[in-house]
Amino acid sequence: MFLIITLILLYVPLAAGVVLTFRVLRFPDLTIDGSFTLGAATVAVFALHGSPLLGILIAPAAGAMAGAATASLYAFGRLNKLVAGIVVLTALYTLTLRLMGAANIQLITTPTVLTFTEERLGSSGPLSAVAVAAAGVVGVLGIASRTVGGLALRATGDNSAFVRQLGKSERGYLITGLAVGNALVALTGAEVAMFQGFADVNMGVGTLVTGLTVVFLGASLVRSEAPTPTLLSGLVGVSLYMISVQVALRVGVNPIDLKLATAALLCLIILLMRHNKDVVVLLDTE
Amino acid sequence: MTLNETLVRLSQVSVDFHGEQTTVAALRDVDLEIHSGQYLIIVGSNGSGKSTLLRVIADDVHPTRGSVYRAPALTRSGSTSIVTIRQNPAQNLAARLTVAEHLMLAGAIGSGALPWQRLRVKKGTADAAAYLHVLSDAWTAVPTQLAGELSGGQKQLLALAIALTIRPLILLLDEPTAALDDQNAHHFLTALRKAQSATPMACVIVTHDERVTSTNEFQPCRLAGGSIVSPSLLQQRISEESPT
Repeated sequence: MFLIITLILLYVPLAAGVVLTFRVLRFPDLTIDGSFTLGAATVAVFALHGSPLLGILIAPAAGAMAGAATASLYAFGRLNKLVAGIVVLTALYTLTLRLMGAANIQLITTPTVLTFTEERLGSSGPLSAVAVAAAGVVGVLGIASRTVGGLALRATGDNSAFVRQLGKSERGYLITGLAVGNALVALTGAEVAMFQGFADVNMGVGTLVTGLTVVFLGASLVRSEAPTPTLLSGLVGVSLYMISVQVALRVGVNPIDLKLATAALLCLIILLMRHNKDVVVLLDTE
Repeated sequence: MTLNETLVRLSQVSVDFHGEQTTVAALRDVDLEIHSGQYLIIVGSNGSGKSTLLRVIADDVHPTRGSVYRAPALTRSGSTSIVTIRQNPAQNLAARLTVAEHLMLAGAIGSGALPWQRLRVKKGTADAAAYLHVLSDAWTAVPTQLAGELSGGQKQLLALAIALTIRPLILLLDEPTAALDDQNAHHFLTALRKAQSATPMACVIVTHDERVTSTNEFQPCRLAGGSIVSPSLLQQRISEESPT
């Protein structure tokens, strides 16, 4: 139970990020797999160099730059949304590998923010730390959704031409939205690297499918498009997903098969909900 | 902004669109002035260059030849000086936002609010109800209704309410009544004229809908083959509106 709650809280920023990019902005952002690894790599490298706290601050910034790059390629370079994401994802693979200097960095004996909280607060330290991060993310997004920019960002995802007609820069809102979304994913990557005790150049593979499963699970249960329910749908989705994963592992599913199981679960949800207009609309991202 | 102040002046404006094989002359040597407080109707058949003319006025399309003067007030940063209402009601709104959210956003943009400022929820909702009531007695939607669930007529009225809340210097309307039935077209045009006559906002309507010309007291300006063919009527309109 303790582990499940920690895992849910770990993935809350990821859920919020994917909800933002995919559900609010309707942008099928493939950068997410790369941002997750970039966040993990950044925090690992900074921890190795004795600056774990700086690493947890720089990791989301790096993710934000990746998201902004994808959005800019789409908005200014006129690349297709998927192609823009693939281009940045591919570039990130090399950048992350260069940053890490190896395919894998072990953090078992390296002080990180999570080991620091564990030393201070005992075994509940890491849980407290990820809870603070999750609460901070939810709180900030909740406040942001009640601002002029938050409403304009929602309008951008809905009908970017409408925002342009109002004389506002839909590109600016798209770039901001994808930057924030990828910053949250990178934050999750950084937290997961610290929690697992390693960063690996391939650890982001499947992050988008996990995120989409979270979004679809949440959207199938919480239908409203208003800001608070939309954010809540991400929390519901990530909770259900993490519980499902733990149940699957308990009943003997091999961890190696987890990504296949997640992909199958996503397909199942989409097939079961294909007549639901709230879910169908999520698949129509053009 | 005073009445009859020149906002945009097109001088001998031509626009060519280059295809793979041919070049299409969308506008030819168009001279046109748009003044504050003006209510200008431009009629023309499909392909006559109406939409291109609006896009030139909105600065979305640059002339191939000729020049466009814009009043300094139009290029002032931080303000929305030109708003366009399009033919398809769905294009003018965000379907997943409520009526009140549209009005809140419009109110924020109209008052020059910065992106990080908090939305004024109660004021936005009140504005929505007030504006929509003023616009049409036929308005039956509630502020919490999603824009995507409104009828075509309600969508256009909401788009108009948004435009009026933003208070642009120029409101461009591209076939605004084409998707509306007679009753809704009448509501829309009556509401537009009533609202526009109370402000210095200039309105430019391009249409081939005869209901627009029959509902209003003004003679339309006619566009054919990319050229304005009845400039005398246009001049007549301007002189009639000039303050004595």
